[in-house]
Amino acid sequence: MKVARAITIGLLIAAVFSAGSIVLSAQNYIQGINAAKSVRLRLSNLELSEKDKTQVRITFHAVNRADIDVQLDAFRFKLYLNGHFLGSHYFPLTRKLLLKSLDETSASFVIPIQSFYFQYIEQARQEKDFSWLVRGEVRLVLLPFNENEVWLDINEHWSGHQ
Amino acid sequence: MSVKARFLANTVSCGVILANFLISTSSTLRNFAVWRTSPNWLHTAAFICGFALGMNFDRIASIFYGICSMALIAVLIFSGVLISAALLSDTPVLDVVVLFAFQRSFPSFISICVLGCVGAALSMVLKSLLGQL
Repeated sequence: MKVARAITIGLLIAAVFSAGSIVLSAQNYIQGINAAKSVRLRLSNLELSEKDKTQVRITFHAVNRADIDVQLDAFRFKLYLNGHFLGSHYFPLTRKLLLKSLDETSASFVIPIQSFYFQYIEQARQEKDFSWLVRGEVRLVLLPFNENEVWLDINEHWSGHQ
Repeated sequence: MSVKARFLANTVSCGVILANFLISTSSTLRNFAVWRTSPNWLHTAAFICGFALGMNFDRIASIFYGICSMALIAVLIFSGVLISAALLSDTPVLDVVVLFAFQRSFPSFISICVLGCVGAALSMVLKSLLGQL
């Protein structure tokens, strides 16, 4: 009977610790996912290169409104001009961008446009209508949570003279 | 403590312990878990819980009922935590989370039952050997 009581008490103690661990894990999950959603990424600039109009420079501005530090790990997106596809790009960041809590940062990418798509740029120039769309995702690393990765959507419009 | 109360305390405790192992091995919650483990640890825990139930009770039917109950409690807690966490964090792919919870629950339930029975069988053999000595 003593053995049975010892086993029961041992199991009860382990269960109390396990219940605490479950609650903490769920709390961490909710905090982590909500933190990822608090990161705002917007297109802050998009310009065609002045010389030959064969390159596009895209600048993203990221703001971390969460109370945890995150890292911008990689970008992948598709570029459209007036509804025409201009290419698909993947940029793994070799130097990770640390985005501390309540901080902001920017990331710029130069994208070469393939010659086949020049016609759409020329057409836009003639019509004087440059309506850009950048659609894709950015990979966020949530630093406090065992470097868990979350993909955030990018869906940004940009209009301009070029 | 009455046998009924002891049975309830044992099965619920084992269920909570196994649910914690399920969470710490789940691909969705693993990175947020207080400690991360591999599925082998879940199997080891199921074996130990089965062994503890086998040591604690004499009737085979009670032990088997206890093992099934602890497995059910474990998968129910796991699914509940997963779905509630997805609901509270307003996860856009809630249906995927629900599907994952059910996909994971059934094989986990079976493996916990099987390993729990193995552990209980071993404890019964041990008890009969100790009784003979």
